[in-house]
Amino acid sequence: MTRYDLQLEQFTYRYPDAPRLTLDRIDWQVERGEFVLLAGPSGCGKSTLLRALNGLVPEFYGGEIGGRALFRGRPLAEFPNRSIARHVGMVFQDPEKQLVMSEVEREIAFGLENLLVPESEMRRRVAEVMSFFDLTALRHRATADLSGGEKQKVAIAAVMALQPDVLLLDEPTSQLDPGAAQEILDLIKRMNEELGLTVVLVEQRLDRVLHLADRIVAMHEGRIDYDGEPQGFARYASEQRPELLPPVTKLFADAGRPERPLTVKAARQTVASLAGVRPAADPNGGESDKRSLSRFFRNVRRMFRGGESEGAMFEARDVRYAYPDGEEVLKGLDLDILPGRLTAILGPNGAGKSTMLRHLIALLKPQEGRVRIDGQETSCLDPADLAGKVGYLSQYPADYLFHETLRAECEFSRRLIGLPVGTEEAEREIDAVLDGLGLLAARDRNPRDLSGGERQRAALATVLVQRPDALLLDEPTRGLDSGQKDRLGAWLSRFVEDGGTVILITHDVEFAAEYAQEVVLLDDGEAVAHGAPQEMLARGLFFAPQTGRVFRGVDDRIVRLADGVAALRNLAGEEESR
Amino acid sequence: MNRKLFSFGSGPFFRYHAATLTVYPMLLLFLAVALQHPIFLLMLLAVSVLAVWRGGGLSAFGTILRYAWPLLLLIVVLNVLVSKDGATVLWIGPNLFLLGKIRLTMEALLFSGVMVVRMLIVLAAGALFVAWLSPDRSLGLLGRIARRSAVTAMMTTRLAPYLAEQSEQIGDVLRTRGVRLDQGGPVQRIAARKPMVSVLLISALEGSWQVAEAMEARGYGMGRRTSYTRERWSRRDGLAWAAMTAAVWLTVQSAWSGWSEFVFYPRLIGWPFAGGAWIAALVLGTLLLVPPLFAKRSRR
Repeated sequence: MTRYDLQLEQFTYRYPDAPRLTLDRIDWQVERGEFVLLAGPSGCGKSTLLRALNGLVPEFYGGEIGGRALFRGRPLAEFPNRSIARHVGMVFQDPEKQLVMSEVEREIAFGLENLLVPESEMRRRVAEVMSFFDLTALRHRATADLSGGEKQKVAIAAVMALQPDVLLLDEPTSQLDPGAAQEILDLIKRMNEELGLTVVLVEQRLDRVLHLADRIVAMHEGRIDYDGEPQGFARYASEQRPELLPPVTKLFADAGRPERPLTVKAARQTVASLAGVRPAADPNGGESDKRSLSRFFRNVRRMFRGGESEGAMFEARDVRYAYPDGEEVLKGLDLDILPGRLTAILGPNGAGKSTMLRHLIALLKPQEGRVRIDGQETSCLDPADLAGKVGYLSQYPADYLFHETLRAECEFSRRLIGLPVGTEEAEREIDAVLDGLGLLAARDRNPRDLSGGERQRAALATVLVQRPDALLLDEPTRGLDSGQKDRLGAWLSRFVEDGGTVILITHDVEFAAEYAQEVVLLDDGEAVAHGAPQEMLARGLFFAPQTGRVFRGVDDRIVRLADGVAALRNLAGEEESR
Repeated sequence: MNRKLFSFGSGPFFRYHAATLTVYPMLLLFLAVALQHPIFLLMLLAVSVLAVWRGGGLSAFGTILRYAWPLLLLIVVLNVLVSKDGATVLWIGPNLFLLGKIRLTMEALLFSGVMVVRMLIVLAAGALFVAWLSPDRSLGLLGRIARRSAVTAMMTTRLAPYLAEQSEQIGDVLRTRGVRLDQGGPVQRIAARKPMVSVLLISALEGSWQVAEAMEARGYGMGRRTSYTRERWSRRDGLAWAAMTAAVWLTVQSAWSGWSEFVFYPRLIGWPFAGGAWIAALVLGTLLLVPPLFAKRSRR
């Protein structure tokens, strides 16, 4: 009996009509009970490889294949009528698009019905799975009413009800807030450890998952570039693919240190030994009561400042808003957003972040209180009045793209607000925007054919060609790989340097720490804290970047990678001089 | 578009067998079509509204009425204008092109009223069905007979709230780009929504591809399927079915005895209402009240 659950032998795949191979002569195996992490930039073939492991490629997608994919030594082609689903389960990125039934309990039973499981056995499995995933209280809930984290948990439970031997996961946490993402990842690890489940996970946010994996596989342009244990991956990535490094490892690589820590704990120990202090274990982490008190009062003062609201581009005062179902989402929100700054809005799901943003673009009107944009109350404004002044990018870039070409899409935007199109000047302006976003080559392509990251930028381009002074972005880094995020961050920084204002909602604390000048924390419909990233993110539990966690108790004002690198070099220099 | 209107499956869970919860609204619907007598129909309407209230669908019914009232008004106006059969003239109007002389008769007016009451019962029965039975349960029932069709029907029911939500979301994006969806006359408003339809169509196609892939990954398409159900018959179901059977029997008996007979044209026959009609309508209403009154919501 083979010790491998999954094997690919000289596996080659090309999507229908694709000019090049997506997977190129791959020889690869996954052992029973292993936890394998698949890493790599967008478009490198990770998701396709995952689909090859359960036969969706080529069965569902068509295209040309070469070589063989095997489950426990048996070619997938020998499993008739999707019966491979009994052995290899798969969870997809978007929980919304993988739930079929309208009630949780029946959703879990859906796969069992497909696999002809008898009714009494189905009852047992559904009950067991709901208990394991703590879903019993939600059994009769409508799937549409669940939170993103709950939906993803139901999707995993529905696959686990099939009792597969292998679980494939394609970026299962990319749509979730940090708390929900951690819960899902803990669950996956628990299944791997307690049930002996083989796990193959594709993830962009390596900082969340590196410590969970037994083995890491890095892909590049359809081939396996690295396959080995995590520590070796850190060395490989720092030498060959630095964009794959998680912030904590990148910190040490950029500082020229020989260590390649993969976890915050390991990095903290190194930093603490360099600094000659014990890593802070107390809740205050060495910060004096006096200092934290003064920080608290500074934040409170900022929150209630009266005079400083003058000059605010966006101003919300005691805003209350409840949706028609009666749930109050904003509960007296006070907020000032100054022009010429990049402000990141953080907070858990349901805190009211998107509702707040929709108020700032006049899509929603406050039921109590007021919202002003450049001194003008939104109560009498139509969102269309703001087009050309304030650009809004929703969480769904596809909603912006319906023309035949990206250029036509941009021209549509300009025409809506009376800007010229078709002239030389207009063409130059559109090209400049597309060039700035790295999309000039895609100008005459159908925007729906672009990759996820390109679509995100294409949607942004349709907003930018209207020459807005301010940008409101709802989760702009969702689904982007680390290189794409860096490019977006650099572009937004330039926009702000040129006098633009950016407000972005994000769950990506690393991104907020790197690029924001101001951070607002929203909770339960109110802005509960407000300040520079160094003040806001250094001591958070979930809302803290890896760099900040590494230096906690050593230097509580470090949250950005560049600051961390400088501090690490200083510490190393001091140690050497000692 | 109101998303709440399409929020299937989020209501309370009723401890009746899905068959009982399916058949009762269908019975209301059948009786609305079968009965002519205004007293019987008014009684049926009262029972239907009460059942909707018990079933937790009153707000959905209200929303449906907000959209349906122009249709109801149209029924009244058209019938009054077109019908020439009534003998009791209340008002004679001018000559209109194609319609001829307008004659407002009591018979036509009452017939229009009866049509409106019928429509209201039909709408209430629909609201009740949606409110007290989730699509999963009703299609689970269907799944026993037609397994693959049940999944197709399920996906269709999910499509309505999904599209409602999507169109709202896309509309918001277009408005922030400068599209004025609510300005101008109907033609301009429809034209402004054209991009919305394009995005909706493309996104729905992309979404259906992803859903299909997820379904295939969970073994859909193997051929035969089994069906998961937690439906159980209880004494409460027995009582409801007994009441419904008695209601059907009474309806047949009323027709046989002439209690529910009512003629509108050329003159109203059955007016003033005979005592038998009142009693039969009252008993019918009482019988039909049994299922909603004994409906018990489960704790979740």
